[in-house]
Amino acid sequence: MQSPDQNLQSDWGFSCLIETPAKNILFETGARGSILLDNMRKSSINPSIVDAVFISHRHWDHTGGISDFLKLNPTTVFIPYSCPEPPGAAKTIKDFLVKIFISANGSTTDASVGQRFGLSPYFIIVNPQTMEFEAVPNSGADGKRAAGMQAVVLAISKEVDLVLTGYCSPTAMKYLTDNGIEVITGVKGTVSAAVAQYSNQIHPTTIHSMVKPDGTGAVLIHAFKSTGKQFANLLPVFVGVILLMGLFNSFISKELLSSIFSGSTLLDTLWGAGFGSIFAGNPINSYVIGGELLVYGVSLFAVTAFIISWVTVGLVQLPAEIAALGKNFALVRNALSFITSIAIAILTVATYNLIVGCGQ
Amino acid sequence: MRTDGYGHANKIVPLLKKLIFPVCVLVIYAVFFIFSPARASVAFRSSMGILLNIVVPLSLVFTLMVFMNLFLTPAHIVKFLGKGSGARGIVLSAAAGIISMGPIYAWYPLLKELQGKGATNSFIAVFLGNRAVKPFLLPIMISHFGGMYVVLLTLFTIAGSLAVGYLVNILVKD
Repeated sequence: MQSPDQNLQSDWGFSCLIETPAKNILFETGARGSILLDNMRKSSINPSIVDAVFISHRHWDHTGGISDFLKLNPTTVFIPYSCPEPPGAAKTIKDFLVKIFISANGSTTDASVGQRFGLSPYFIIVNPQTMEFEAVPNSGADGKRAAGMQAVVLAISKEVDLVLTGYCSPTAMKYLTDNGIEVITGVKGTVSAAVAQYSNQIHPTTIHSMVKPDGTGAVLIHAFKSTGKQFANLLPVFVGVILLMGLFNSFISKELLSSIFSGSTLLDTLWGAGFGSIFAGNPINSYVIGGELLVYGVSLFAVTAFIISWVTVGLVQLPAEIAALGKNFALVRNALSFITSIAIAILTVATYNLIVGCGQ
Repeated sequence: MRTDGYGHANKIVPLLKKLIFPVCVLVIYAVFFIFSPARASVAFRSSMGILLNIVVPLSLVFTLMVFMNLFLTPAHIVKFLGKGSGARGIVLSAAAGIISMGPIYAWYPLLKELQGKGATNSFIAVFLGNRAVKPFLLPIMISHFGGMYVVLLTLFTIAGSLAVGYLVNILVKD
């Protein structure tokens, strides 16, 4: 391997020459061909001594110099499935170290390919050469929010090269392809058949082309649809809260409220934090309730503690938090968040009163 | 897991669950309309008043949410969380919490995965604490409580979440 030289041009990216007794391999090509070739010249490396180029992934700072290099030495190039074939290569080899991520309706390779990327019960990650696989249950399969994105995150974190599925939303596809993962949709049959089909290219016409992310228009429409869905999801409870606040205004007397909220800063804040900890859901509801409580004369201390603990303390979702993050973590975090919500309320309102007082 | 065998989720049960609360409120309304129609209509008018006050900020919220859906996804956000160490990690976790959207239960699987991959408990606590800061809901909050209050609350909430993260780190072993 060549040692670094002070005269070499520096740039974002990576490239090095690996010299072995058998072969010389150019590992990555940096971001720009001109810099790569100039540095090779300064290092007295003739491009023709390179026997093969190896690209680890399709990021621009690793693949940028490949075209210029291949013009001088059209040699064999090893690339992952996620890379487009570089023009000018004598031979392109993709059959190495590939991981295929397949949405599936079961936990084995005999299961059928899941037709909805984010909602399939399992994801199977297969090495097509050995057919070794890992089945990961999809925690988002129940259709709750962000199921598609949870699947995207899983695929990225597992560092897969290729996703096979029935259907994948334009947004999910955009983030997969942006992270260098190829996506093929319209795949049917069993997982093992899909792997064989893709790996051997037996029936390429039945597989959709290397799908590029849809245009900005499709992504924008999808963003609108997602927001619409999120709104539709929160609407029933939101409408319920607004109707309830109407009843509250009409039927709950100030006397009743003042019997709970006595006017003592600490006690009122404690009550506010307590109520906020019990309730959960979209914080927009806590703002509406908090706003109405203020109108009713409940102190800003109590309302602030209520708003903060609504989000940060979750008695209702405590079992879910314990299951996901551990008992110790969940209990300590919720207890600390309860105490902190009181401190935040007191500090916020005291500072607010101070500033407003000074301004008057 | 409720699926039909093709990976399609059964959407009816969750929808019914969501409707329980508003339907219960409507039933209470119906009862009050029967026994105390005058006060029930006052209640309804009061609800409509609340709704009217919130329509403009709500449309702003919708616009902000579209933008956040367009540019930020959990895939981006998990890239923040658990990356870096020390102050950088804390700042990134706080930022991830602030820009995260949606109900918390949607985040647990991702947080679990990150915890398994070595994201420290304090980063996750900072993330969860900062979820109380909702940039896309600011129009609603300001319409109810005013700008100065919202700024102060946001600053103290971020500070509070850092305190919780620090204490979780001491009290809970990774």
